[in-house]
Amino acid sequence: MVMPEEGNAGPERPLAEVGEPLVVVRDVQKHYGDFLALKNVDLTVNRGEVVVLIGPSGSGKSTLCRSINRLETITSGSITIDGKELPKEGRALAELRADVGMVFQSFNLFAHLTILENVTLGPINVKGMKKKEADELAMTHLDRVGVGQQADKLPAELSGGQQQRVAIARALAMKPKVMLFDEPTSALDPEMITEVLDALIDLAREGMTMIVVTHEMGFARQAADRVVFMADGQIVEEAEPEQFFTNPGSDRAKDFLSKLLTAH
Amino acid sequence: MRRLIAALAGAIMLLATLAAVPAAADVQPLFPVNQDVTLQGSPTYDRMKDRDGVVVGVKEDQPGLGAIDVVTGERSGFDVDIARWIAASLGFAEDQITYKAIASANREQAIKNGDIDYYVGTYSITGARKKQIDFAGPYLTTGQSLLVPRGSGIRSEKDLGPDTKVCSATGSAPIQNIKKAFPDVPTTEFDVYSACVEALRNGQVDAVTTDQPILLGYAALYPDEMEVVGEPFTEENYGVGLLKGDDALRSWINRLFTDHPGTWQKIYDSNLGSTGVTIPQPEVDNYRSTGESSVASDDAGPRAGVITDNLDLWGEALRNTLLLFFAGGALAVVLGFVVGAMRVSPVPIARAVGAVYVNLIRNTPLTVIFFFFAFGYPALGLPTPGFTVLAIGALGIYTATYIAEVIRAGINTVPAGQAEAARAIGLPFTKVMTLVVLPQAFRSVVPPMMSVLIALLKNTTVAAGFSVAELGVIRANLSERGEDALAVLLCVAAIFVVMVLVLSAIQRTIENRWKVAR
Amino acid sequence: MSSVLYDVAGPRAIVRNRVLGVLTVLLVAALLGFVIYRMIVMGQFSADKWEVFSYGAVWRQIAEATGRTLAAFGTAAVLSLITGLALGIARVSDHRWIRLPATAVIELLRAIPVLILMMLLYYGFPEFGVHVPSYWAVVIALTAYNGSVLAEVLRTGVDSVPRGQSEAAYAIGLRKIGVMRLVVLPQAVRAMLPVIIAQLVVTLKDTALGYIITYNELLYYARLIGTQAQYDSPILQAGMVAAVIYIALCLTLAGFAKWVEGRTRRSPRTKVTPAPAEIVDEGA
Repeated sequence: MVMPEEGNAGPERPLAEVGEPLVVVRDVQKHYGDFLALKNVDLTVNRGEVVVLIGPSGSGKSTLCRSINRLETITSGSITIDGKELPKEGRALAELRADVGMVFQSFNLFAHLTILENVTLGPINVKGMKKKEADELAMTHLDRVGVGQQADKLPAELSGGQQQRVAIARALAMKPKVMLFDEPTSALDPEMITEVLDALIDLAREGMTMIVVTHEMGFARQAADRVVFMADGQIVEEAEPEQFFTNPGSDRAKDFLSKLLTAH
Repeated sequence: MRRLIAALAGAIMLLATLAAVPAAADVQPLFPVNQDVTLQGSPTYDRMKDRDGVVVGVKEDQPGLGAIDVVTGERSGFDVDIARWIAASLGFAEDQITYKAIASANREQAIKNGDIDYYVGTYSITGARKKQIDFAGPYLTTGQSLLVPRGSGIRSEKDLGPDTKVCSATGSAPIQNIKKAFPDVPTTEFDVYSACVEALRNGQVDAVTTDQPILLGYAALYPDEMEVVGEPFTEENYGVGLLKGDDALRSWINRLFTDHPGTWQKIYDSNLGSTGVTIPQPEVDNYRSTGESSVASDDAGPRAGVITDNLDLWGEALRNTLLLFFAGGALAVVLGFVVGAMRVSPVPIARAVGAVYVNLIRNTPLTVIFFFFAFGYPALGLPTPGFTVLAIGALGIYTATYIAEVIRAGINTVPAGQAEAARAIGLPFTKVMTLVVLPQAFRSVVPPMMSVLIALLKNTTVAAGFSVAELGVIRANLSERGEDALAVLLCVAAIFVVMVLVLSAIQRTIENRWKVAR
Repeated sequence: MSSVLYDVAGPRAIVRNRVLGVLTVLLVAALLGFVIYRMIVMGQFSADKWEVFSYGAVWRQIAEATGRTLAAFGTAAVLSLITGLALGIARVSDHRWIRLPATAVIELLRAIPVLILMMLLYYGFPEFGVHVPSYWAVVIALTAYNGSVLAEVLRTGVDSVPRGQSEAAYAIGLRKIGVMRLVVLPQAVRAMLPVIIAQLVVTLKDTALGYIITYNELLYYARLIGTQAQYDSPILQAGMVAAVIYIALCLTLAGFAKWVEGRTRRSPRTKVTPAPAEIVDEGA
């Protein structure tokens, strides 16, 4: 774990840009058999807001993130996106997912397709875009995250950091309303973390609504509007980054932060 | 000889006495055991004396001719009694006789090997066989005839027509004769005659045709239900198979047949008499032996002629092997895809059905599956599609389990994240499968799939045990033509090695081209 | 199972899956029902057709025939393990003049159908005066084929032992034979044990090929029962009895392979993950 640009702390974006609620999670429970993975979770993410989910492993933060585009189902409660209840299945669910971008820990680039094809797959097959148009769109996004040169290569020929940036471009090409990042840098070698975080910071600056599961405190301080701390499937604390990292309100958070810091 | 007659006469006297005391013997011997035998110059007889016993090759699945009762272990039938008679004439009693069931295809081999001393079992005397072994007899002259339900309209082969279905053994000479002589008569083929007889009893066929004595054997079992009609319309001579060149034993047996027509008649009456059909004893054929067996085998050594002289048979065999391979493969791939899909489906019952199917069939020998298709299917009384089709079914059903597992394993090699990522960008299920999962699974499926197909190619030979004229069975067909089994089989092996190498090469090419880098 | 392929079922998907489940059951029931119906129509369940199985003598002979099946299997299994070990070691030899012939023999024997091998021994060898009884034709053919498959399995096992293992063994001063015998082979065999046992299931199944070259084994006896006209020719019934015995034997052996696989997987004594007990190379 690396903390980039130490000292450049604090959210740079004015809170005024934050608008009406976009993702609303209300009283969500999730069981795995007898195990309660999410317990009475309430969370509202407003348009343009960047929320960092943080917490020990097994705290439910990834489960919550994956629930928002229904890669995980919830046992009870509700999740709405832009005022619409999350559909349970079928075409409606697919359409919603097109509006919610997702970036995975393990990149999950389609191994049999080139970088360009990875990015155009969605626009062509979901949005019915023409191939030429989709190619142009894809190149725009690939250039933006700095991997335009690699367009004709296969995923396995790229470094982890490059692959993750392609994954970001792939999600962006769908023009999502909100982006979910599920530990986007955990699988990366240390020297590649920065290039991915920079791409995330750029996105945040442009006003993308983002929910990011990460332990990168530097990123949280620099780009997040809010830090949500989870433990044992519950939201324990919500605070502005600076306040959370310097003076957490709960003992669980204090304990967690001290372990996170000594780990370095 | 006089002594023999005297002994016989004495024995008959003894028999008469025994007959007067019914309780003393349930089974009356039809002939006495000769106590005083002088037979010079017969290597086979010398061997019998050395081991103080006779080894007789017989059939055990031919009621009335050569049969064994699996419950009592008793052997019976006209042929078996002829074999016993010969043994008795050579001084061997029942407890000194060892019976060996020899399949039709192995008879010459068993005699040449010395596995048996002589063979009695619906063994037709032919020129090709005479090149390899000698025949005593004939002890029965017969020909093709018809077995029909009692009182049916069919009185002879002339009554056969488009409305009468005739059954016989797959690929046998009788079925070929019918097809040639009566092209408009519908035929049904089963692997064994007993299946034909079953079909006749069930009314699925109107007549069974083969050599008359075989039919008589069945008619004797069901005397109230069926009868043998018509004069034999071909000619077959049944002989006793002997080691080539053992002229002393051959003459001995020929004299036995010639000198004791009364015994012959008793044997006939007790086995086949109940059918009401009488067959006269044929005159023996004291042909001059062609001499040393080496004369015949010298020009039959390995040579190019094995293939070039028999292009017709090789062509048919290769065609059938490829037919089984491609049709069986196509069936296996289709069925395998369905079962593979069931195995990864979200429907628990479908998964369970797929699992049971795969585990059951994979733990059943292919030969057993063939057995069910060849013998079990006819027992259902459904239309018979011919054995090649059934063999394709057996191969397809067996191979499908392997294809299904390859497909399941292939889909499982695609990491879960691939499908998740595809869903996350909004692709519906069908597109997730067709655009992301299957293309990747396909690449890891093809190489093992080729291994399965190579195994299938080799497995086509199992059909040889069930009368499909493919490469595995060509040895039997060519041995009828007097070809050397070793040369034939080496050619077959070589053909398979070449075909397997070609498939392996294709497999390697595909593997290298389609590797998925991850 | 691979639930990752599809979404967690929503209400409509649950209904659809139930319908599909019911359809599957109906289809299977219809198929089985049809076969059973035809069997009833054809009197295959009548007492006459099963009478022959009410005699102890018949079951004794079935047991003996099963014994002959197992005898051929047992001998072939032991011999193929020995052959496999010998060929496998030759296959990974450092000497070209050992490795290349071994490879050629393995490839050749794997390419020839087992049945053709059996026929070569049984029908072909007598042509030059070597008379092979059917039992040995079955055993030798199975040994040749399965031995070469096992040799390949062993080679895969040796390849899967990390280089570090043999390097460490050389480093403590062992010589080539010691490295193989004490370090590499024990791990390779351990890793491949499930596959080896699974291959033995193939061997067991292939004993049934002996039926075709008239080795008097279980299936051969089943056919004999089936041609007993005085007991109503119960061929389907005899086949069913034989099939049940074969399947029970194979499942037992396959279950043993699975058990060994699980045990090996949990065992800390190898650095190699055991290969799954899937049948890699199908015989026949």
